[in-house]
Amino acid sequence: MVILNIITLKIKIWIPLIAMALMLLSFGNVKAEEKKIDPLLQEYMEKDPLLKEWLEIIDFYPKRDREWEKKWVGKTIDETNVDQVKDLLPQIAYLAIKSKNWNAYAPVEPATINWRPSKGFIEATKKGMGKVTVESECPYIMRNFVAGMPFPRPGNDPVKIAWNRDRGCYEGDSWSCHTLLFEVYDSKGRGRTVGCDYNRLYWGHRTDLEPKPDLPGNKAGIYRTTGLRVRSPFDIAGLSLLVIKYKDTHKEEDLYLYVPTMRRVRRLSAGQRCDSLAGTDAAWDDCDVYDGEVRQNDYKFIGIQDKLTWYDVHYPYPETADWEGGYFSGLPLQKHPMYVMEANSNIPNFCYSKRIWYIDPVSSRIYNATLYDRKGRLWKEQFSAMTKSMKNPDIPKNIPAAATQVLDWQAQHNSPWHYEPPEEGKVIGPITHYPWDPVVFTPEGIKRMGH
Amino acid sequence: MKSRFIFCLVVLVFISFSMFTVCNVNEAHALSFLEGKLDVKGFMRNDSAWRIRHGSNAQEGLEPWDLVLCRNTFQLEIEYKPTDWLTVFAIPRLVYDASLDLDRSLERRIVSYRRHDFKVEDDIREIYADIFWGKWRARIGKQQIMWGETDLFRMADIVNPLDISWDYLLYSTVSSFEDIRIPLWALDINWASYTGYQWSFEFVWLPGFIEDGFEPHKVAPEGANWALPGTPQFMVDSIRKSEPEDGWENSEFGLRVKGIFRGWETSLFYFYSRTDHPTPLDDVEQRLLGSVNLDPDHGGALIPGVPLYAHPGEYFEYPFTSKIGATFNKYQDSTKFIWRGECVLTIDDPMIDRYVMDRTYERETFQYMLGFDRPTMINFLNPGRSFLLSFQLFQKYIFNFNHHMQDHSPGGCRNDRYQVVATFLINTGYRWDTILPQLLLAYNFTGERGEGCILPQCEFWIGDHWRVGLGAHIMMAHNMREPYFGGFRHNDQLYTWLKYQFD
Repeated sequence: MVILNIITLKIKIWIPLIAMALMLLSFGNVKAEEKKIDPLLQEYMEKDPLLKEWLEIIDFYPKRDREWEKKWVGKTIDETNVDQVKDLLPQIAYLAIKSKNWNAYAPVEPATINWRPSKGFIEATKKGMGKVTVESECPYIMRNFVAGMPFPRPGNDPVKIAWNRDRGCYEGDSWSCHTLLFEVYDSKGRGRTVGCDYNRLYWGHRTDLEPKPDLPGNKAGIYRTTGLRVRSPFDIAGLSLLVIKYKDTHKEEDLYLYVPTMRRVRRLSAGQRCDSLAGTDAAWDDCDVYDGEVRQNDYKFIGIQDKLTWYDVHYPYPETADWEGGYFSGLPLQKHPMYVMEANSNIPNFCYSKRIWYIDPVSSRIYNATLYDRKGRLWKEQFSAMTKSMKNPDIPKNIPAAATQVLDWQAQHNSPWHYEPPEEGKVIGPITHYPWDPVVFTPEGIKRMGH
Repeated sequence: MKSRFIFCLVVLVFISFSMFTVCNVNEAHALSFLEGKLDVKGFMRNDSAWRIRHGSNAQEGLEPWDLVLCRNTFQLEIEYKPTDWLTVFAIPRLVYDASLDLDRSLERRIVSYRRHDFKVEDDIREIYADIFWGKWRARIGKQQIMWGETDLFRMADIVNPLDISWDYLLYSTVSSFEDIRIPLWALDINWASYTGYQWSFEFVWLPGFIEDGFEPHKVAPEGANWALPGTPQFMVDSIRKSEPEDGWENSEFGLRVKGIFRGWETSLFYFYSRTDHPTPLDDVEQRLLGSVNLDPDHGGALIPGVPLYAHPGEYFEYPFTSKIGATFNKYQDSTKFIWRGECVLTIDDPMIDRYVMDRTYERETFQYMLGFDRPTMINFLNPGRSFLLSFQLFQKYIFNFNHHMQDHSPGGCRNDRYQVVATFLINTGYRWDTILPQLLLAYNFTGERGEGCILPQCEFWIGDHWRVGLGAHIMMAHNMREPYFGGFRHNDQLYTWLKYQFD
């Protein structure tokens, strides 16, 4: 009897142990299955050890849908076939193509990965792994973040994904874009253009260029400064906007505007974020797709879904590019897995009630945003692409918004942003040395640059 | 009928000329030379204004719908940047005011020798070089220097005098101070830090011996639409004639220190300069009486309607004063307000006597402004864009005041120990900021019965090159003794502008 009891007990102990072992084994198989890396991605990783290291850190290996690509690559999505890819497109893109109003069409390209982080960014991310936390009571407060991507493995946590996009969306420590053109078209093709210089300097959370992680003496705790100087048309030429963001994300950003007709710098209120940016369909809040703070939204993770985006648009623009040609401007779409997230504004009376974002799990960039008005009606959509600089291959620069397009569906109005056809190396470029006239990024500096 | 025809002709010529000369320049940066180092941009513009009331006093004889302004401006802005550390900038400007040629009665009101000066302006308005060296920047040349936080009324913006000869109020709405400040030769050295709390330091020196040397405010000739009340032509001429000789002794200088601390942007400044308005000399009555004669060919009318004439002469002086001031602005996150403020203490501010011409006073005056800007959504008026609401309250206090005193307010008629003026501005944009309405109100609470003005306007943007606008000046003053608007209480007018710009 005693022996029987012992045998029974042993069986009772062993059964769960065996079950657990079987489960672990099966999970391992699943993970091994998931890690079956696409041969093209494998090729990219072999060519680019930094990309390989990065994908290992984030533990995410985007898959390529070969069957789908066999069917679609080389074709153009237009009103005749858009229904077949309805689920892969954001809502307004589908409606625009379907309605024929916007001469909207898009060629399809095979999926590529042209983005890569720098060595410094990878090291900074590795250093911070496991150390960066968010407050359990309030996830909008982040602790112990120094530089790099705060949460390289965010799982399905939408707030961590939002933090990654906010602080870990790598674009170098500084960059300069000249002759950025904002254009505005109505559905009849009547338009106007605003030409700008667009510069950015990171004062904190720097990863590549000495001094890092902060510029010396950054007592004010500045995270980054962005300068936008209008070059044309004449009556607003010389307007210089300076946006100062702070490392403390609960500190409201400072905005200054040099007004040439007044010859002085006016301080602006961050309450103007819903106003049109340079008369385009985008609001100030739509800079870099989303220019607000993490804390200003409540988030909902919808899932990882394959989506069509401007994933790899860069200089030189493809021959199909046609900025006056309507929505998509002839730029190619690629199919990639994206985090699909909902961001509901928690600011009372804010112009947008909800945003749907497609965020790339590799770069944490938002490639597409669909925006809803206060009444929850479909309002705008923003496609965004990024580019790599053409010089300084040692320091990869993933400049955001090499091309961006905002379509206001309610007003039937369209604003593409892009750069003038560049003279090589002169239009977009990283700033590879310090100091790079940081004085330009002060209120006094924007006054100096004006007349 | 004839004048309307000529007006239409001028406008047509303006449009045709702009089309023919610059229609090919419709691409961004089309006028760029020397591998992009030389940029040329500019505009052609017509500003026209019609009175809507009969004139009074200084403007007596002007009728409703008289065209009192038809100013055609051709302006270029040339920037040459040969290196990273040097930029040269110039603004040549050519102005022709056709109103005198279109309305002969208006022309006859202005003395013949001032007509050309009133009608035509052709000069290099600004020309200077910027030299950058690390944290330093030096700007050398003929330039405008702007300090301060206020809009519409000037307190810390004291470096350049104003040209109020062609309009007294347009600057506050259409043209802005940029178009009516008189640029001066100056050296402006600026140092700025760029990390931590930002500091900047500025030193300004106006040598006073180059070109026109010292320049006071420029006022309209007698008989013009914006002529100063009670100022006969020989006095207007005397204002110029009394300017001091060019020389080192006219040197003016200023210092400014600016810093940003915990979101407070603050500055302290000091400026030592001559006053930009004239003060009668101690012996002005003797000088004046010495020039009085009965011959209309020798001098201007002393008093309208009385056959006594006086020569323009050196009746005035421009004494030095010291101004010490401070400014601040602060963004308040919780309310989305930008708070702004400014104060100035003027040492030895000259005052004239209301009754005795050769009696003057020197008093300390203290002025301050408190105001705010706030973007505000007013959904039922514009659901897509905020309205900018901007409010300013100005107060001036004269120490040791007596009731005989009169300061140099443009209406120049009465004064109070206190002056309290408020302004309110509201503007927004419709249709992607291509329709830009604005309303400006200014009110002086310390006039005899209160006085003010209402300035509504709207500008329309047509593509990248054309701008059209219209607006009105509605004056609210009961008698000419009100200090700011009293002298111009009947100068209600409608105005329009048409602009072609290229870059």
